[in-house]
Amino acid sequence: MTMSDQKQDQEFQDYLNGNSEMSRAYRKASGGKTPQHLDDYILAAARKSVGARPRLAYSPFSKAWQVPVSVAAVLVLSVGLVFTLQEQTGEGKFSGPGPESGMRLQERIDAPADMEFREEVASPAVAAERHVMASQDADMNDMFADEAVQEADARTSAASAEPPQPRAAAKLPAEKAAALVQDAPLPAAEATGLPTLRHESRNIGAQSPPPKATGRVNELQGQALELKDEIAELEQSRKILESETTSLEQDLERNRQKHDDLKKQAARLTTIMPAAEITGSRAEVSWLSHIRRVWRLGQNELARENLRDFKQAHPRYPVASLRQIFPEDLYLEIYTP
Amino acid sequence: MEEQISDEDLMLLYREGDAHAFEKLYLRNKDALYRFMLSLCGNESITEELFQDVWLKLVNARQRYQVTASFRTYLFQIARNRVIDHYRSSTRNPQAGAFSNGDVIAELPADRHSRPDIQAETNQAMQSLLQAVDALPLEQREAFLLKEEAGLSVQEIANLTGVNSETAKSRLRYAFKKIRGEMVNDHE
Repeated sequence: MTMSDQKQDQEFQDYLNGNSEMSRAYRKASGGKTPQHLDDYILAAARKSVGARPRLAYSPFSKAWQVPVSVAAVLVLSVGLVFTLQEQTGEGKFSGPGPESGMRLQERIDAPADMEFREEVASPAVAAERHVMASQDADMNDMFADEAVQEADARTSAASAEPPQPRAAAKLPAEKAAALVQDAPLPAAEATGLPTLRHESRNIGAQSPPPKATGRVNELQGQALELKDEIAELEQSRKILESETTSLEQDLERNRQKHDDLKKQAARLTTIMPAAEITGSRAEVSWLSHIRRVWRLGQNELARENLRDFKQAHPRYPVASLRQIFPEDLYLEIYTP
Repeated sequence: MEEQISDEDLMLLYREGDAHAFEKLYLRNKDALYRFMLSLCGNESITEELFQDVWLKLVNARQRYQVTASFRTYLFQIARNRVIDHYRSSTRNPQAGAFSNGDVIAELPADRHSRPDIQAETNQAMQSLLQAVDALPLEQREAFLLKEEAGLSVQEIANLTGVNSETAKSRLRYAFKKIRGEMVNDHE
């Protein structure tokens, strides 16, 4: 063998041992990697095959804390929600009345007049009695309308320099309500007039808020809807939690029953071998119960042998205790000196 | 330092339904297997198809998995069989050669290193090395790849390819000689 052959052999041995320049160069050069879509597909298939879901870390600890943490989360969310709602209600007072609030106000103003009108049309005799009350209501309506108008004015003047038109419009229903009561015997005329008037006043109320305020109202409406959804979700979570709590309570009840059963069993065992329980160590008790089992199976000779062994192993074990466990003919023979 | 769990244990865990074990196993072995198959097939789309088949076969056979050999031997055996099956049933490549153990397989073109992305990454010497590997006769190439990609011993290569260990060693020796010759020529 030439030197060159020997060198080649040595290199080949190095190669086999994973210690060659060639292997290192090859590892460096070969950089082919699997395409991502293949990886995804194969891993998904593997997971599907074992029916694996994203792992939920259900340790006993997390299970124990699941309900309290969920309840706390629900509470925090509810409190947050209440604060948010309060905040938004507060904002509503100072921001411009949107078309909706304008309409609600008009309804408040219109509603009594409308009802009275209908009653009076049905029974004109009541009209006189209602007259004074209607006048008072009209005054109050005036006050409501004034308040609303003041609010609207404040916001309207902030939003635009236009004169506060809605004031006159908002006052109309109150004056009209009083006039309507006076003209009660003419239902036909009023029947046509009142709706028109209400319609007008609503239109005025709806037109009054400036564009900025309308945008704000829309925004608030959107938020209100979102909050509604959140409340619905929370309600659902609460229901789930309730059902989980119920099942946990049932588990607890079952465990309690088991515990009671075990306690009863233990008590029964204690009554069977009270002395042994009290006087003996665990090993002694276990041995004695074995002997007792053997004796019960009718293997008296075997039981005696066992008892002799027991006596040898535990010579100081009180004989009085054995009396409660075994019949006399079994132990006296062994324990009589 | 945490001791690394073996491939066999990961597969056993997967057999018991642990998908994370499979993920680990897959990430550990996929690239080597892919390169091995690509080198045998020489065609990326066919390789992808066969590569996917191999892993799916493993997934579907997980319940029957027993540790009889190293997992890598098992995996590369499945891959090799799949490549042989493919070319046995394929009439696309008329230049069919034969393994010494009687398995019919195509004399495969090796065009994997003509990919521009790989070309850009590797320098001239590396290109030569890869070309030398691709130029090897199939049996030698296979032995070389099983050694380099799967990290199998001579005996394991012999078992997997169905030849005795002397033959496997001889194939490796020839492969080593040829590649080394190419590398030396390239240096000169």
